[in-house]
Amino acid sequence: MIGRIRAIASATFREAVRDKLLLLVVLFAIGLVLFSRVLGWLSVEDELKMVQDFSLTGISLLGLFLAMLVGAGSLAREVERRTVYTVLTRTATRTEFILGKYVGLVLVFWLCIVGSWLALVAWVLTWGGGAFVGATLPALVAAVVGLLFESVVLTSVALFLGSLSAPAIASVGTFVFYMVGHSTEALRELTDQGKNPDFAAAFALLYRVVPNLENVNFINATTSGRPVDWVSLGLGGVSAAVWAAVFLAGAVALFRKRQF
Amino acid sequence: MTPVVEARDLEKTFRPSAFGKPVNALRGVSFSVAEGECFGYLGPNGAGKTTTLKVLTGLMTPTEGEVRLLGGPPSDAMARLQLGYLPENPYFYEHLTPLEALEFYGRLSGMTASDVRSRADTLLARVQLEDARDRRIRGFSKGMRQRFGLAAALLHEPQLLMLDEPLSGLDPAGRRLVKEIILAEREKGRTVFLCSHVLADVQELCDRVVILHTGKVVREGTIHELLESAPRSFELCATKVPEALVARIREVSELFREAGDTITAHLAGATAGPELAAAVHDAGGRILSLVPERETLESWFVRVIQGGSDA
Repeated sequence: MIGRIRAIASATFREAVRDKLLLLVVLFAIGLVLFSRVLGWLSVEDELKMVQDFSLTGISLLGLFLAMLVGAGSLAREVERRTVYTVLTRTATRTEFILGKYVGLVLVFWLCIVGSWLALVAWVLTWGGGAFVGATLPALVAAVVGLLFESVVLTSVALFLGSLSAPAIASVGTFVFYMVGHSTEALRELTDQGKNPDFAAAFALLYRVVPNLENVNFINATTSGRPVDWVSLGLGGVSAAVWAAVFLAGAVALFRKRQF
Repeated sequence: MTPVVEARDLEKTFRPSAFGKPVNALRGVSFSVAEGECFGYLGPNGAGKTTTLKVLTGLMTPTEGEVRLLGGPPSDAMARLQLGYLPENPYFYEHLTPLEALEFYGRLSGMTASDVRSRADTLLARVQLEDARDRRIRGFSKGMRQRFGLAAALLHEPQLLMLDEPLSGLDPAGRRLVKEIILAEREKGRTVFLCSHVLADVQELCDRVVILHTGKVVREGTIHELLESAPRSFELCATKVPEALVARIREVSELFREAGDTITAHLAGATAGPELAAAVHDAGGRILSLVPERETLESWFVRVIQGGSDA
């Protein structure tokens, strides 16, 4: 089983890294990191803080775009191009296929996120010097680990929605999930302070159902210079893994019923 | 002996949209394929051939009925381990090279990396893709993909080959090559399930055929049986035939030509030809030839599907 998952993951990884779309998205992210310097000049705040804040947010959006553009349509592409026929008629099960696709996509997305993050570190090193990087490196590491955890959840959501609906709808759904996932605190406030009790109930439901992506968001902590709370980061990772498992189980259940 | 493939009373109903009228793609399809047989699954476009193949390979579940593949259900991984499947117009991971793709499929079929490598070179040479082994599949022509698909289907030396239109998109040399490979695999004792609407290919390659039309089996038998059951006809060519007999022959002929004192008549049925030849001989005429003609599978097939199952 592990061998087949690894084979599917490896093929997914190779396919994705050789696709020009991925290169474009990564270049866009690195462009954002470099552009952050311009915003740093315009900012009234600390220039390097601005560079880090803008760049890390850009890398978070990179994870979202990858999930939307590559992840959400990956199952549909397999079916449309009929590559899935040559895989599922061998000994691979549908569960192994979903898990292999997932692992392959997560590895590609992690590679892109880490690559963009390294561009950010190099950029900060250029402008802030080694001493600055040394001081902020733990926080930068925490931020990128949080982004990797976020990508784990987003990819599982994109695969789940991709096994349920058309790629365009799955992409939009992934985007909505990302936005709501980063707004759960606001949802809680609306629940507590909402004037309309019906909406408050809806917000309360959303607050409980949607994973809180802020659990793995360490961008603000990094840029504000607060010490890294490694325990929170670890708990955020556990939460991300659990949510990813839930969405993957859903994707597997849907894909097993699919007729090709 | 347990059949290699067995389909019993297969029904498959699709509903194109939530409120659309259901479409019955398969209606009570039953057949079996014996070990070592080259079995042709024939039918015009839309007859339900590809749907049957998807049901047989586990890509689709039937609405009713049962499928056994190498003694087990298609969901059984051990059964699929012995299956080599080539889909119609196959697509592969575009950014992989043939070698990488074969490595991928080999790993999915439980082969070790060294097994795949030792088989890959031989197979790529066999389908004449050895020069393209390091090129990405993305740049392959339709014929190259088809040949690569056959190599991928043969990689793990399966007991059963299921080929959906394996000759489509190939040039004459490619068609010859693929036919030779199919015949060679049959010689090795592999069971071949060939899905096609090109009758000449089926006639050349298969031992037995099933003809499917609008989701139903309309004929089943060996090529020989099917053609034997098809009506015969005769072409009679004679000279110096008395006028009265010429008139009689003209009357019963499907086609009739007269050039000087020579007549050529196309006579339907198994008896009219010999009877009229005897009459010509008895009347003092000279028989130049009496050629029996048998319907080709192609014309027989067209007649069967035009006339439905009663043809």
